[in-house]
Amino acid sequence: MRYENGHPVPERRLHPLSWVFHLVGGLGALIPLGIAAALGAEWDGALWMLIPLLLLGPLAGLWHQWVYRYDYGPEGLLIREGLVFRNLRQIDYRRIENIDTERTLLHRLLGVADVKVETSSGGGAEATIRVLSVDGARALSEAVFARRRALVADTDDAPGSEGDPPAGVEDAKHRATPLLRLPASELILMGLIDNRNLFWLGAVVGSVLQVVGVETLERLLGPALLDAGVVYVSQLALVLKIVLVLATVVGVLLVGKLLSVITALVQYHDYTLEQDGDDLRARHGLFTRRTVTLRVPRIQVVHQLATPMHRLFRRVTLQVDLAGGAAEPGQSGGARPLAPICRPARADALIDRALPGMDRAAPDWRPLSARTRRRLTRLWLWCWALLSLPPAIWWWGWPGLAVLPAGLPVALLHGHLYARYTRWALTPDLLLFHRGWLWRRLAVVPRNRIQTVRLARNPFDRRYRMTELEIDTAGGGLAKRRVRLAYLDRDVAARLAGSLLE
Amino acid sequence: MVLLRTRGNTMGFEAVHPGTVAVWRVQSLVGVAVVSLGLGAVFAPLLAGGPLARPALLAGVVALLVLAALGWWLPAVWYRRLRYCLDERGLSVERGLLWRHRITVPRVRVQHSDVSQGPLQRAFGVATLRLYTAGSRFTVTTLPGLEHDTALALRERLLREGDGDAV
Repeated sequence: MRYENGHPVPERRLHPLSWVFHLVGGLGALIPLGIAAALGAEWDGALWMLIPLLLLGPLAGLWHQWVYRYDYGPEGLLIREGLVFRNLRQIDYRRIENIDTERTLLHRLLGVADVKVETSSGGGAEATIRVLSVDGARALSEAVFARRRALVADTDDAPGSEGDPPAGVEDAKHRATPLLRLPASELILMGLIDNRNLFWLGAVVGSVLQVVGVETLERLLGPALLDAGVVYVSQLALVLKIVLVLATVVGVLLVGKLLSVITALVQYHDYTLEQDGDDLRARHGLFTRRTVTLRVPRIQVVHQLATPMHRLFRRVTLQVDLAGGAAEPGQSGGARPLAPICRPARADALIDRALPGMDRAAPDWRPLSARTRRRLTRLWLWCWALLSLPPAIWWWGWPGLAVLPAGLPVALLHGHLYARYTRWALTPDLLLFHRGWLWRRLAVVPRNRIQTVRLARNPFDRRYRMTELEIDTAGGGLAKRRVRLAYLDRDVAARLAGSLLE
Repeated sequence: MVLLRTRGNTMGFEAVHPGTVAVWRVQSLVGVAVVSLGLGAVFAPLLAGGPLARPALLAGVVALLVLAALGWWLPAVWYRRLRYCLDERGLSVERGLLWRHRITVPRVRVQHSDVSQGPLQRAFGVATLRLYTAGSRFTVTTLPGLEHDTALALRERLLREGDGDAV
């Protein structure tokens, strides 16, 4: 660190191979150039004029690498970019929440890493240092967090929810204990449970079969079926259709599951969750090795999700909402996995680690309003009637009215089970909310993280004398992660809001 | 005005300044006028002289009158539904006609606040108070229609005891 006229000037440089990654990162920008080159080939001879353009990328990378400097200032991490248009950024140590590293296959071959510095302000990393050697990245992370701890310890007015680091942070840091490790068997299970890409695959396979479909199958299977004694053409067609449908379903399931198993194995290879001093740190990935740091004081809500598939294999998924978490593309704002998959018994221990000092023992579970069952049953019946009656009457005329009672069992069952499994509890430290019976979601919200409380009553709520209570924390924000207690009795909701705000 | 009678101060909730009704009325009527002028400018040349001109004109006038009546009536209803309460916990704002809600911002959660006043609001002596929290869904809580001095005083009272823990 050098000083010029009393101002700090950063001196540390990037890894000498940084320009390669600058180039790779900007590879998208080369595509128009490639098109231009292809077009340029038409005017023969003029192609050489494009060579300076092609050199632009590496030169820009080299320039960036040459002028980029970072250093540890007295107050914050200093980053200087540019020489002509200079920009000196200072990121206050106390504001730095996360230093993540990301390594693709190329990074790992060259022994380097992208370093992302995140602060509590949302909207992406505050700075991406591209690239440092792996040792350099570790040194940076250690240096920043050491200074951060020193500063926080100095200024005793650390905000309350930052939490005082527990005694013995220093030695705890060195004996990082793995809290969760996912072997390949668990990952295969995770792939089997996960069905995110199933829908798209179904759409693709379905439309492919529409196109190639029946004729191919007839040609392939027809003779065999004829030999087997299926005489009549109508019979044959029916059998073929059934075979086709079954093959589609089985094929979609198999390929979809295979894909998601492979995805899980690659993405979460060697998943390790460790306690690192005050933080939780997850490392995973086969080709792109990721390190994600979850700063425990920033955790706002812990979600536990159990789909029917999860319950079949006796597993759950844990996710946390971080305050002001970076909303990266492809990642829901601030949501991070705490455990992509784990056993329910393990989940309780992990939640305790994520929310230390919060007593979760023996919550006093409360049900929703007694009128919930009736309301939900009616709601489902109305939806069923609106969706099914017009086509039924269109096809069958007035006898079509018979579809109406067909929806009743499902409506009754859903109303009954939803009301039975949805419940909430208030402990001295936490608000717990368990929702749904098929997809079960448990939200654990520390009461000191609640930002605002909102009571809402729509016309239906008023008719059933109910109120919906929604709480807002500094994390989450995605629709399905909202902590929203619907169907509460009006006075219960008012009292709960009152005690949440105390 | 009968429409402007306030509901009783149940649970310490207070109504905002009645001047805000006039502000909203002017705003909604201007909005209706702009929309009808725009639609008129588009459709008048298309329909002029055609067989549909007379019914279209009639329908247009009726729609305009209905919208204008709504623009006159709704602000009064919004005003009656808009109440606020400042207590030791924080500021609660209650509003909404069909979808009613009450949002409570604890004092300690207020990150920063705005008191803003447009030209129209200034003419009627009202202002809007905005409270910002570090939340993710309800980051801004708006309380429109306060008297300017009341808004400043309210913010003063809210923030005086409100420092501390940020997130």
